Amino acid sequence: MKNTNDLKEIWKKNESTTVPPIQEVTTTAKGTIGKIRNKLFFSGFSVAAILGLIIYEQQKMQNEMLTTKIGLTIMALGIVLYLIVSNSILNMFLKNEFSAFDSSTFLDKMIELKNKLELLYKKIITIYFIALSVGLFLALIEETMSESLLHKVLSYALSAGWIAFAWFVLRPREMKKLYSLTDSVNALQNIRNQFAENK
Amino acid sequence: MNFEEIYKQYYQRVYRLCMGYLNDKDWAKDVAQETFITIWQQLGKFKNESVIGTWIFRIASNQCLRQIEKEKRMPKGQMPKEQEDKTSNSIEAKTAFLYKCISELPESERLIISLELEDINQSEIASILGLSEANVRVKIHRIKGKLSEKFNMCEEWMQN
Repeated sequence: MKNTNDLKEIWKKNESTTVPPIQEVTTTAKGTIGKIRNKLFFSGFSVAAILGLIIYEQQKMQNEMLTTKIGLTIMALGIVLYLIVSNSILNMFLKNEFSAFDSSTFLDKMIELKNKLELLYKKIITIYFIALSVGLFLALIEETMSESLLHKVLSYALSAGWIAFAWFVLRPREMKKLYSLTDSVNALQNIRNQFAENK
Repeated sequence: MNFEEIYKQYYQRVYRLCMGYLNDKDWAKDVAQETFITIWQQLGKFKNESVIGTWIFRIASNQCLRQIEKEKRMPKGQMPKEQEDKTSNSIEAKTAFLYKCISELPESERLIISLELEDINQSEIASILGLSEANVRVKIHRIKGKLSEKFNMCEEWMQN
């Protein structure tokens, strides 16, 4: 290696053999926007549908006991809260707002965002599963009152089974996402430290 | 400058930056594509406050940094398979060796040297990465020294 200009020459020898057609990029970009819109629409639609269903249930099914009303309301609030939060998080990541910042600032913003997300995720997932479990049991009280003992035992056992499944299978699965998020924050922090050393 | 012109003028340069950071052809192509998708989406927001090249390389650098989320795919320092068997002093072998050496550097240094080799001036590199110009200059000097040393060792080894 005679001098460092040789490095530049060697560097520039590396070219992609094929440049993807520009339509591939624009089609994917338009598709991404479409997907975001669909996700946001679906999420908003889900919130509206759940609320509508709960109001319908409260009014038409003639539930008289307060426990049923409270139970259904808690379940609905849990689902709505989960959808709103996950939707807003999705939105933050998909908007790519920091992508044109300088890399040091970009890393700061990403770390800040991921830290917020981590905290939010931990709390929201727990609230969501507690709300579903409590709400379901409260709603079951009135539903099972007129049933035979066997039916009552079966209803509660099935509900308890579902809650156990949600708590011990679904919740840890959601929490795994959180652990990978924590890994990402640590890795970003590590790179950020390299930039700080260079400042 | 419209998107088509940007794409034609910058695709290979962005691809090389991604290759310098990742040293994996397919992955570099994916990240280059993600970069141009972001450019397409954000082009309307570009306000001529900086040079368009600086803006493009900021997006590309940040897109590379985001790959930390896919860390498990990172083939740090691996030679592409087709290059591994080549023991000749060919330009392809040298190119593969250079990219391998760069991919073994810490992330920030990979970006600094890739931008420098792409002929971007040091004040622009500082602006892309958010570092001081003096530090960029020192870093480039050190990294080039390291790379030249590795190349000399490699050339000696090939001659023996």
